[in-house]
Amino acid sequence: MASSSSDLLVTRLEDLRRRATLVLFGQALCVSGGVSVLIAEGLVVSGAVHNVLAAVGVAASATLLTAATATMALRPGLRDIAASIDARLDLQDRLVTALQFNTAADPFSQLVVRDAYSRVTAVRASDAVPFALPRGIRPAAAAAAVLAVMILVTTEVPRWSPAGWTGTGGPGITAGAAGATARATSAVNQQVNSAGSSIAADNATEPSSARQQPAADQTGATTQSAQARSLREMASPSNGGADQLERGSTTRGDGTNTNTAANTLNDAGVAGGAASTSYEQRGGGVANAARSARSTGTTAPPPDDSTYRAAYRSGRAAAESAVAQDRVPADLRSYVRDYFIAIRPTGDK
Amino acid sequence: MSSPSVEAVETQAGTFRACFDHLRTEIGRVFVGQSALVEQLLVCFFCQGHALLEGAPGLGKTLLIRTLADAVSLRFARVQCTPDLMPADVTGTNILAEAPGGLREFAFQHGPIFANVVLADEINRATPRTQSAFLEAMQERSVTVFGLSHSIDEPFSVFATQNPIEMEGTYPLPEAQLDRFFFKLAVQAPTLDELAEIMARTTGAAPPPVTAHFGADVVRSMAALIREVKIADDTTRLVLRVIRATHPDASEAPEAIRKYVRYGVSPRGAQAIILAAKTLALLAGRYHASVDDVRRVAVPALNHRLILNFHGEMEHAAPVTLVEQVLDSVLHR
Repeated sequence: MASSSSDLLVTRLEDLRRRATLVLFGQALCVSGGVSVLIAEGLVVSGAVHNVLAAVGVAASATLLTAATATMALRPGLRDIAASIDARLDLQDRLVTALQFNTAADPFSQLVVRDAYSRVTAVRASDAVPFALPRGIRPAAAAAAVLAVMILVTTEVPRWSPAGWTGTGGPGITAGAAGATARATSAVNQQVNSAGSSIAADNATEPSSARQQPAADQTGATTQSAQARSLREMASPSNGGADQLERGSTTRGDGTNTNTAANTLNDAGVAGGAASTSYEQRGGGVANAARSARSTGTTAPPPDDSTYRAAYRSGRAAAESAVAQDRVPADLRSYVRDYFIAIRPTGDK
Repeated sequence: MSSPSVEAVETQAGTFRACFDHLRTEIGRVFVGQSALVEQLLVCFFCQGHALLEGAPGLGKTLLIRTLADAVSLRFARVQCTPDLMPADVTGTNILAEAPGGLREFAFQHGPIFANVVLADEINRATPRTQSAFLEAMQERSVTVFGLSHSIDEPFSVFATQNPIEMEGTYPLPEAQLDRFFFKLAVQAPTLDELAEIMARTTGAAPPPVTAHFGADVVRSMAALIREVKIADDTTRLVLRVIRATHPDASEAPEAIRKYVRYGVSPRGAQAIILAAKTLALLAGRYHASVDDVRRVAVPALNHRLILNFHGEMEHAAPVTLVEQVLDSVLHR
């Protein structure tokens, strides 16, 4: 009986040690994951790393490697786990003592082992080895989590849409521009995309003569030019502006500023979309809508660009705020200013 | 095969708790309050140690020891220590006696030290020479007279009392003798309720006498049982770290020890702590001593073993406080 109690006690402690090892791995994951996220975010924000996905991958790998190494190094022994449970459940050193005397045959040792076994089987494993960060680490973990959230909410996060990746990261999109700059432009992009689609459809239904460019409509080879024209006043400024920013374009517009943007897009479209694939996808979507509207032959009312104007003002205010708060690097501020001048609606100050 | 032994040990442990509770109850019928003091005294008694009780006159020190002896059916002797008390008055001496047949020969007349429970009342009033007569008996459990050694029957415990406020004409116990006491216990003044109870008991009808339910054999078996209790190596090492930390030259010694202590605790202090912790474990129904047991007995086991330096004496550093600081520094590390 005594020997069975001794074996059962060791078996139970082995079970608890396995659980403690898992808990330790989880704790190590939390700690190293937090540190890795902070480092990765710092590298992305500072511009040292341009690809967010790559940074996330490296951070995850480092987290796993660190957690596994720490778990192997700090894996508790049977005596350690016995002492830990003794202290946690106030078992009056029962387990440590029983572990020491579990091979002895004298009656006192057997009683000690039996007593310890009865105690340790009466407690749940989750009570004996709960999952919780060590007390010393909790404040640091909380601070790291808050810091990570703060960085996340103040940094452009890559988002997936059917049109592709947007934001400071993602495939084919560089993160070299500062997050605040991208945020200011993307705010306009998102609002103008919706407005631009409907306006493009309206414009496309008008006779091509109204825009003094009949040749483009008659030439089947210039479908992309037609698409670009339909975007000229609306979609192209918003989407093309971001590309202009990346290319360092200083295009300045006046009353015909949209033509400048449209020309840029025309060039991009004829060239096969080398400048911006995502732009072409979005532009194509709008052009398709324009073609669809044209084929119906319906007469649309005069274009209402109030939505675009509202979106422009909102985006411009956001950009001005970002510039005023020094959240835009100094060498990029002129791009922001030029961009909004370039896409300024006609008659708007 | 081992089941009967296990059951026998469980029975012995139950008997131990019953004996302990019986003594506590019997003493409580005579001695009012101070349950912690009574428990510590009984722990010392079952460990076969000696205790030094310190307290003001009239607090019942002598009554406590007397009641203990009555409740265990053991030989009891009281020695009232005075400056003219001679060592032979404690140990006994050879006297010339007439044997059957007319021959005369020296025969050893046993002194009061040969009792099972010895009360050395106001021991600090005896001269150092007489005090030293207790030394061999307390440590070796034997007495040597005229070159002949006489062993003392077990159980054997010396309970000495001393009055800390009347130092005129006293001889403070030397460090070597203090170290032989298992515990030093402070007898506190009774509370108001305890005083009322004392008045009720001592000014009314005489209480029924204390009854003894067991004798020397049971006490000896209990003392042997205590030594069988297990203690983990970690706990033992923790006790030793406590002992080490009482030495001012030790790296783990707290600042107060470095400042106020001249000499730390001897290994006897660790022996006392471990034995007393084992006793508390048995009382709690356990078969092993724990760190909590160690903490509970450390102060009475160590407070008289610290030898203060000049600064400690001048600033009246309290040994109890120093021991508690050592415990805090070691047990919470």
